[in-house]
Amino acid sequence: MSKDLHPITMPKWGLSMKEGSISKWNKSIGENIKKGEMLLEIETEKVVNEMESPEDGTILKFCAKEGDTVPVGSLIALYGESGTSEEVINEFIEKFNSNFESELSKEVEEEENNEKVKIGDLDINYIKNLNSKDKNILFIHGFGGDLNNWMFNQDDLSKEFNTYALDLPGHGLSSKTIKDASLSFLSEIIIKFCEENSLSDINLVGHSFGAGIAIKCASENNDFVKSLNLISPIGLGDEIDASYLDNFIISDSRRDLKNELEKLYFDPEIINRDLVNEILKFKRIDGVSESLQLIKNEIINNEKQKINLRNEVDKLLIPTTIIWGKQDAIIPQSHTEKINEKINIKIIDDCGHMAHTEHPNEVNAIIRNTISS
Amino acid sequence: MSLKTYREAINEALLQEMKKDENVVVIGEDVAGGAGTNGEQDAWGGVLGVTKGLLKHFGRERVIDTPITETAIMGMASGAALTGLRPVAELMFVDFMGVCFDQILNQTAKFRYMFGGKAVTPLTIRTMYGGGLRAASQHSQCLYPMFTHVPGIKVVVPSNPYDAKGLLTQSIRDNDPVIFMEHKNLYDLSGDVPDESYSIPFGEANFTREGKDITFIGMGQTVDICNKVADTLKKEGKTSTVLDLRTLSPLDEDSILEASEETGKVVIVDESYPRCNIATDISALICQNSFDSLKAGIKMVTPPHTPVPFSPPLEDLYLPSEEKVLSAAKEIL
Repeated sequence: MSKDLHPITMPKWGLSMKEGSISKWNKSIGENIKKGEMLLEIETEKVVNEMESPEDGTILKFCAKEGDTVPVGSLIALYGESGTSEEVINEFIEKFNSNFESELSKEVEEEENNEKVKIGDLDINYIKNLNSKDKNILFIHGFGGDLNNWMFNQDDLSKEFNTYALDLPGHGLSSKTIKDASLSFLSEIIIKFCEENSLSDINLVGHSFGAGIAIKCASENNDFVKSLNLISPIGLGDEIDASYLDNFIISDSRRDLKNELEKLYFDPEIINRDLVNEILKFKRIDGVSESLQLIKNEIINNEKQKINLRNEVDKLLIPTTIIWGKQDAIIPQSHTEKINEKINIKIIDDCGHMAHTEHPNEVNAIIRNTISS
Repeated sequence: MSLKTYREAINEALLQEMKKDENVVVIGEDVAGGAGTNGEQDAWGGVLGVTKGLLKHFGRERVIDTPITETAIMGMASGAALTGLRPVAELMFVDFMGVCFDQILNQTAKFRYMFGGKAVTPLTIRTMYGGGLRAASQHSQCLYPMFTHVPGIKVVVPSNPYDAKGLLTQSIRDNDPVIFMEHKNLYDLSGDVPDESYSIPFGEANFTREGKDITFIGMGQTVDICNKVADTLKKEGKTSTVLDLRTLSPLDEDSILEASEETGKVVIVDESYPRCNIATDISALICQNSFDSLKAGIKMVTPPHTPVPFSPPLEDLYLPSEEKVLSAAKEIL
């Protein structure tokens, strides 16, 4: 294969994604592309998202046009050096497709890789992606989320790291009924989860409430947590949109919940009906509302945050980055003020409370940096 | 989460609600079955086995076989509901509603209203409906428009196993009379169903496809037909919105208007008789509220105005099918 000819393939965003539709190409044939530029828009059953150029080059051929739906991993375009002959391109495509077809037939046997581990009387559901790398990442989602929140992050970071993402108690496919929602109880769960998986060191990536749990883990187990990436963490100030948490718990219809979820994003267009339906399915299970209420009561008192983690954060000795969407409407980005200067702060523009899903490439690059520093 | 059939999903909802609340009882013809025989504990459980296995958990006190009299079943269940139980009564085939309709129409449906809100009637009536089983004119009708017509009763038409469990759980927990309609052809349909209990609120239709070119509205079994036609059209480059009504009373008017305005071209697929059915009702709703958004006349795919034929070729010709829905769609695309 020519070294100046590279495939662009349909990405896999999350476990359940089997195919994607190309909604828009932002480039045309012969046009130059730059690494990180928005190349195209892809629609899956759950989300619409943009895909960035992996490298610099020139678009040589489209193998899938707007409106086409193709399986994950299929060739959708080729880029490389301009002037590459048609013959070389066609040869490349033929070779790629014959390899891909044999891969595709193998994958049929692939089972859903959700696993469960028992911690105390709770079932904890998780997904791991192990490539016998020497560093481990564990993702901890926030209030009302689940491990699928990391769909744009886990697969990408699995190229260099062993990655784990879990469903907190009361969430996703873990046990729904919880009695204790305190940070110390939940950080205990995280520690025991790592013990069960024989992880002697871990890099934690936490979002919002999950970031609070990560801070607690690191402050009480300094030697074992190697780095922290905290996305819009709780505990650094007292402002929070308390009504979001209340309304998230009580919203029982698609319309009401959609209005709430829109507060999470800078660009509310990201939310489609399937995404709202998935969350409704979770919320309608017996016990979920009570568990969410318990967690909310841990986080909020009188419309203000009641957990203060500034002391813990000030004392951290491990590489730590705080990532915040500039337009975060749930917890304001101003909470990054007066943070200990040893801590990296990254503010992402055009971004709400869900930086990891709204700007995944940027967040993944930041996570890589934190872990390698 | 695991793969369960529509039948298993209904059975699981009954089992879980009966475990949770001792006031939940099941009443009907042969819902336990096998009385006095050796195989009693393993009896069939209803004519199509939906209530099988409940007897061994709850005994004959709570899984109650009745004589063949629909009037008595509905009268007994309504009275029990009014005085503190939460009965799930079975009307084996909806076609038999004629025998007991006074109990439902004039008694159960009116209690809350006529007693000034002081009486609640937490009654669920499970019943089988629909064609395709070669069961002839008296065992193949839909009839849900007749219940939908009457204020005071809620009408539920689940189209898949996930909805069947969540909506039946809601029906049992609901404090009003609910007619829960199970299409015979769907019992073996399987899908992902959580093992935990959950309930789906009434009055929220479900979007099963989203598109720009045409909107299909279905209920019960016809949702599957709409989905298949949408998938066929997608291969031809046309995208469709499909709306599953889930409950006919209450009716999710907002979602119906939202779905029809999304594309301006609407095909409604309803298996019930064509006069005064759900398709005509929704069609009127759309015309009255968002006429300006329509780009073509509304299409209704329904059977002709005749009894359901017994002859298999005639029954196939009679029922809404993918071919009929596709050709209706192509007329306005």
